[in-house]
Amino acid sequence: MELKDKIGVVLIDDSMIDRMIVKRNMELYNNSLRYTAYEGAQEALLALKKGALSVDSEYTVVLLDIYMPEMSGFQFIDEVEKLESSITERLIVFMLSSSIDERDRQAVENRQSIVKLLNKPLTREILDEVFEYCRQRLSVAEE
Amino acid sequence: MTTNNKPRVLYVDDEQNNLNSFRANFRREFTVFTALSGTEGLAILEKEFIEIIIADQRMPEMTGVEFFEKVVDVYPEGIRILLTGYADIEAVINAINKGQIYKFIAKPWKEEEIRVAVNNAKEVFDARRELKVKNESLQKAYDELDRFVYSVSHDLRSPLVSIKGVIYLANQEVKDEKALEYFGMANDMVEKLDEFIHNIIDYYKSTHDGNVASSLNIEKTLKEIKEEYRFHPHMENTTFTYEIHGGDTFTTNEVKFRIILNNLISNAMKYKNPDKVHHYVTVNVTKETDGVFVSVQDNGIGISENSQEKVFQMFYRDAKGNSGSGLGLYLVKEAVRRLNGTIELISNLGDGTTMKLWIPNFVSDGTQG
Repeated sequence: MELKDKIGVVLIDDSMIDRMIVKRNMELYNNSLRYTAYEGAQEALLALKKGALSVDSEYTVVLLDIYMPEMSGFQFIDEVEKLESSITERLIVFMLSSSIDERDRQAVENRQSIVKLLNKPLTREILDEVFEYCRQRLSVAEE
Repeated sequence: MTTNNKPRVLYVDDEQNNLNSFRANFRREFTVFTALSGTEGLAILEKEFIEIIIADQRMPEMTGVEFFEKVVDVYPEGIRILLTGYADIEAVINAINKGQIYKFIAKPWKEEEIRVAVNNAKEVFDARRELKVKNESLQKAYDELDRFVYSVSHDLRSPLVSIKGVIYLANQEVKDEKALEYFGMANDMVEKLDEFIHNIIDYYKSTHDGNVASSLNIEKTLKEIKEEYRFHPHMENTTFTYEIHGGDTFTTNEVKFRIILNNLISNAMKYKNPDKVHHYVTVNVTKETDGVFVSVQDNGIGISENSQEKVFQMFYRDAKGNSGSGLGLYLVKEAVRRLNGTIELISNLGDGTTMKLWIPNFVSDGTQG
């Protein structure tokens, strides 16, 4: 069983350039994972409710920006936590932010549903860490 | 609000004659309101802006002290003066001790005594009001500063981090050596700006986050710092180790202690000696009953004797290149000072630098900032 058969990756970030950075990093990483980007949390939430956040993925890794207009990353999590466990247990959420605000770090630590806070910019090493976490959590052997 | 600034006085007394003579005496100097009972007085307080409240102690239905007890709940700002004609010492002492009255005046009152008391009370009222306004505007300024710092930490840093991300990609994809060299330069400057932003925020935090003392887990803190450096470019050919002796936790102000460790370790990482193949940074923490000894040691370029006393100054930069913001060691020195600790620099140019600190257990006594 390979990771790509299990998970899809979703980015939620309002910054065009940051979406480009993550997309290109994913391409360079070349593990043929499904990848979808959303410009806003609202839109992503709608897709999630319809079961279409990441099509055909058993589990979805969500890379979530914190500061976004209309709905912030934390507000998104608030909404997600209201959903049925059949939906939420298939999400693996990481915050991906440039914030160095202590309060954000604390807020992430206090949320059971967020794995950890990743510092922008995204790099190969950070993706290594994310996928290693997924492998362990989903008991998928190293490829 | 009054424009003439005459004291606005409410006088409560169950004897109509007293009310009449009060009004006759003071209507020119004060804006006078009168009430025949505590209940009536409370009704006036609901409608009118009153600064000073005078009440007779002996009234049927509700005594002066009882009336003031109610006034304190609804309108604590009003300055309260009690009139008493009998030996109501017990009630008066009680009221004063509870902070319910500003002054008491013996009955029958003398005109001059009332005049002096009311004018003094008016000064107190105005001073308190002014203080309150100033406090509010200070709080507002403080909130604005908070938002400003937040905006620096986010709005300024977020595009910077995007630039870092693009340079990171360029370094993987671009093969042209000249272009790579330019990207390297751009990256150095971005790193420098980012460090400056971190320093500004540290500075703000250390001056505004106050003096909260808490129990800090040294092992956890150092582990977190090590984690932050895991993928950092500074880690190339570098070993970062730490040792902790004598215990894991100690009482300190976490913000300041972190500023000290972060800056000293960051410096030790950054200023490598290009002549040495391997760079190391070692942190040693020894806990004693009354504080901790900390040393941060590296085998980097070292600091010339000439510069050693200057490196702790604000905006001083040791001449090499333009890597520093000139704030890091200043922040360290300030944080050490506020924690009542000491710092000593031992360095030989070319051999490396050791910073030795003593940080006593921190007790927040409300005076240190």
